[in-house]
Amino acid sequence: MRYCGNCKVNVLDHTHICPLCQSPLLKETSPFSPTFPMIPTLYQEHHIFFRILMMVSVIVGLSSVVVNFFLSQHGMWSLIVIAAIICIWVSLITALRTRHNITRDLFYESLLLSVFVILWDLATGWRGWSLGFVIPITFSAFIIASHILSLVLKMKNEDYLFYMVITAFFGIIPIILFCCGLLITPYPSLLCVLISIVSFTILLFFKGKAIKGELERRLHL
Amino acid sequence: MKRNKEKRWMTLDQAGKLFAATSSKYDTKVFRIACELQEEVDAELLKKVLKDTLVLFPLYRSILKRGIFWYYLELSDIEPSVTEEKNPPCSPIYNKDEKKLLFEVTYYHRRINLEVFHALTDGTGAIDFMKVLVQNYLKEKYPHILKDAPLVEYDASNAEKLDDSFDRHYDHTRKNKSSKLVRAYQFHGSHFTEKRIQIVEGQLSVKKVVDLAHTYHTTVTTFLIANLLCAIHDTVPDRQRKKPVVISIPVNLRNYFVSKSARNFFGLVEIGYLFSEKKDYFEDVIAFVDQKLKEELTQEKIEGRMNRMSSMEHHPIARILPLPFKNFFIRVAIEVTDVGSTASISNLGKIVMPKEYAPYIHLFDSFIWNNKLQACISSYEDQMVISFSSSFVSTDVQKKFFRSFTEREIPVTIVTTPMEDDL
Repeated sequence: MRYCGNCKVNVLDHTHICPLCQSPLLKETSPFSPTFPMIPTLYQEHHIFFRILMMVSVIVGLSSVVVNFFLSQHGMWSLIVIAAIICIWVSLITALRTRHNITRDLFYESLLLSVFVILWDLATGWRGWSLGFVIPITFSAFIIASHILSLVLKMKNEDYLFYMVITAFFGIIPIILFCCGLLITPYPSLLCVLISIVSFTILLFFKGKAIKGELERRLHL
Repeated sequence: MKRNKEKRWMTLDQAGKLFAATSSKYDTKVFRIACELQEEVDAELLKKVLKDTLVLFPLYRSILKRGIFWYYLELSDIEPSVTEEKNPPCSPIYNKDEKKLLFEVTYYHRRINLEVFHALTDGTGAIDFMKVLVQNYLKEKYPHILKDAPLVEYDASNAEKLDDSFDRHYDHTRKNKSSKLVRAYQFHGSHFTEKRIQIVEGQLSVKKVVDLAHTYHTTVTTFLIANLLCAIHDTVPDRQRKKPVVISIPVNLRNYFVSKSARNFFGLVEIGYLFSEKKDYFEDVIAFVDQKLKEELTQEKIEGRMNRMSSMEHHPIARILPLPFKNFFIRVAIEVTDVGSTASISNLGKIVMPKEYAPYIHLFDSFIWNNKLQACISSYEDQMVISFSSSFVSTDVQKKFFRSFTEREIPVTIVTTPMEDDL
């Protein structure tokens, strides 16, 4: 126990100055164990992997802009490089944020992929391959993978059911696109809708009650 | 295919919704209730006893999940662990990407620490849990002495414990009109790294403080509020003297409504004092606080305030707003109302345990990380512990506050968390 002559308080800290007025403390009378541990502040740096990746991205991005600036006869290809870097980073950050729940991870990555391919398709003159091929195949793969994962990993209902129900509804979208004539080929979308119907029926019959519970809690007002 | 058992779930109470929306890495909304024993804590015993205690408190098995419109609590079967204290006090507990329990039990030398995310429950609720945890620990540690010691009283059914009392007592016809926003004096100054809080704790004798309050013909709570107002006033720079010093005081609503809820059930009362140009006597401040408390702590006013806060939650348009938008608006609203108070003081009152346990318990302590200078008071037997938590480096307010006791011949023992910036 130490003592501060100015504040007239006893101090039970392992320190030489008064915590209240910062003047020197008088000598201690008896030994004592600390009440709180000393915890050093960690400079929260990102893992070395990310620092290298960020550095590489910045170097590649800036270099391509500069090179393109000097050699601009083939068009603004540096924009493609920058766009690619951004897409990679957004995917990486999403994967990190959802790493604790693999179904959620795959769901958001599928959504991201869909958005990116639509943008790429638009940027490269709209040939319709995003809507016609990539998106239906991505979602079919997501549905099949989620069913398999939920069984193999013995996942809990609350971890995956909600995302699968949403995806089942996505199965309606190819039908709408087909009616609007936006599909360059109907076959991948047909496959997606069929897989969606099968998936939804399986869920309804085996997990109907659990789905109702999940919807009730996630959508409660 | 294996059938998953239906997991129970609950909506989050009104206060919980606010805490979940506003908590962050630099303002965690985590509070700690600590119990200091007379000897070193046995970690293995504590682990065992925690499991038994959880049976009486099903709420603590909850995890926080995000719905489309609101947060909700879901009961889980995650096993809690007990570790030695190795993180800064009141470190973040809730992580929206991970399924985690909303409380943590740690130990350090003679202290058992219970840290809780405020979205789960309030101080009163957590103290009930802590008392049972300490009781179970001591009974296991000294079975031959404490085998027949009486149990800590907590007579409530599971339904009563899990009750959302804000919702139960909501009456939209009895709400107060919203009051004008007052700009209170705000502290400025350098913060610790990562805006960590430093705890400055003073241990005093309850009897001596009660006697002191009586010499001013007032209660302990009024005395402490007035003391804090004056301590803050002494540190206000001259050009800021036109702003009132406002202290916000959480009030346990279980004293005004019928409730045995283990969840949040508190309201806030604000007392603002505009110090005048000439000297204000301490007695004047006490008289003012006394009068203000009498005015504000009436059943009518408390009900009115509670209903006004709840009305936002029940507003039809607010309800259908998706959660991310809700959180954004809540954060903005809280930032705006935050300038209405300077500091906060929370008196958790006397913690009562059967006298058989007294030889083994030294004191109880409490504090919270709340982005404001906060004082928490807990008393056990004759030990009153007043803990200040603040991310400001300056300890002038704490110094003046505690010196006001030592100047009146009341001994104070100070304990603080060691901060790296000091070294």
